[in-house]
Amino acid sequence: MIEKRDIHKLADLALLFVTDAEVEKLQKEIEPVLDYVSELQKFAGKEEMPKEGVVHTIMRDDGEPHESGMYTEGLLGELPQREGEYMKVKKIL
Amino acid sequence: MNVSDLTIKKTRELLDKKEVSVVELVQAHLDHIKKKNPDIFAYLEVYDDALEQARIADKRIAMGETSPLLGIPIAMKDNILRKGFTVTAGSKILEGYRATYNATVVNRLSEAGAVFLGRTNCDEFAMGSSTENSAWGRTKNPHDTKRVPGGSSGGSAASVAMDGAVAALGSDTGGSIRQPAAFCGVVGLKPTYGSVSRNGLIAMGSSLDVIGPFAKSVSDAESMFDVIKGHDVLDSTTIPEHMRTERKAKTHLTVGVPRAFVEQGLDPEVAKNFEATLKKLSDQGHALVDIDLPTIGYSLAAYYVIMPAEASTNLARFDGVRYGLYKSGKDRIDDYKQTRGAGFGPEVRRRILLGTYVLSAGYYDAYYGKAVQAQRKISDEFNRAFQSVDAIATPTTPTPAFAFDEKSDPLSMYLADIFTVPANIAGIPAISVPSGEVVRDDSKLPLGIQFMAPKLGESILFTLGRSVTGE
Repeated sequence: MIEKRDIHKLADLALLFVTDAEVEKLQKEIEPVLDYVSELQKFAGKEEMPKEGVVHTIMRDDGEPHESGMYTEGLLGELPQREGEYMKVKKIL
Repeated sequence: MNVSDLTIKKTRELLDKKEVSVVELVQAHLDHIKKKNPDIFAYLEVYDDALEQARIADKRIAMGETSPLLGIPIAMKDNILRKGFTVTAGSKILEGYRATYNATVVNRLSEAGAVFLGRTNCDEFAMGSSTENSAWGRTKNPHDTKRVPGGSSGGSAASVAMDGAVAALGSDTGGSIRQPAAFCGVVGLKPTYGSVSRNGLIAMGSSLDVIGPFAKSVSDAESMFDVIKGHDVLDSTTIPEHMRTERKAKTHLTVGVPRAFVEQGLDPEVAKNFEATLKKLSDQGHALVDIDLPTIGYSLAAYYVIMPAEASTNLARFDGVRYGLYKSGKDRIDDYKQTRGAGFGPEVRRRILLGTYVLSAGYYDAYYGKAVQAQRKISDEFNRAFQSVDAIATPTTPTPAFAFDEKSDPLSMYLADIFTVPANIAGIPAISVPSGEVVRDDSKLPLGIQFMAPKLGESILFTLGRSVTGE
């Protein structure tokens, strides 16, 4: 069972604004999906849990750096709010 | 010129014989799109430099260059980046965003001379099986406009099916190329995980996502795949060249049919078509054997834990700071909440919350841990099966294209991917090939057969696909 307050908590963790009406709807929609995936609990789980998935990330070596600043203006141009060469956000502390 | 049923092969002949120029070819497609798109809505945008690209391709041809994709007009899903052009992944949260670099597949296709016609509609962040979740409107199935084209790459499938492009690119996380290919009557290939670079693809489920082609023939899908595949230093999950021992297909193959899995919830006419297609294969000398994959039934449950977990993580980057939509709140944290609250649509919200749930401390082992365990077992089971068979066949979908709003609850929509999800879970390649049609409400609706092969076994898929289409 997933409660309304659980949905509120999850939305808070996911930094997602949801209205009270939506919480009710989400609860009704998520519940059957959780029921369905709970089928996995029946899965023979006696063997040891793998510590990682099948897929591993392979990091490449650093090298061949691009010319400094060549992407700066392109990236800054996509910022919703900027001030000169800075991205602008509300007060952090 | 007439653009209907133009394959890459046929177009290549026309271009090589100088019967048509690339500019004429592209103009004919643009005219056709103008006529068809208002009704079908496959394209979100037609690129304003399509004719300019065509002129460059014409110059290359005039210089004596020839290669399979030189001058071929293609469409691209709205989640693949092309520098300087808008890309939104079907979401309001990326409204107005312009890509700052090219995806590796875009670079490879440009070098090969393909002409990008435009970007196609898709479910928001590739989450869906009907393209109904796009923030920009619904794409209709060209075979029956009361029905969905499938999804999430529904716009790409429809663009090829309506002859608005010779081929197209899509992405497949749980069936997003194969399912719409089946619904729209075209070929769709989900390549081996890691065979095609995803640099420049907007991520959904990073351990599952792969870019692949839509085409009007199996050989065309192969031509596209040959250009886009390969190792890329910008995607560390691509398979290095020295590890790419491709499996060559024999002329006569052994095809396994997982009977118990296939028979659940199958439309009777889809079942009939599947059997008839299998018969066609055996008539051509391929061997059929029944196989048992006892764990495969857990694929969809594992998928709906792994994918939301990865998607909720990947979508954390959309917060109104670096790109796209920004909504002001009462403080910085509220800025994020308001931006994400306004920018993400219903299906994306559900999956973000689901992903957050299965990754939360108290439930991690019970959901994510179990799902990863199931994933391993399913992969092992496929590996074992491939010791005795060359490929595995299922219908691509349990039913033909469904009507708009028919699957209103999320779980019934998720079940539409029951046959396609296992290949993503196991990271193996799979193809959907048109296998016939059924009549529903006076419309002829296409059906597809799916083949799955061991990792890097795409050539096996092409051989079997050609046996079905008669190429």
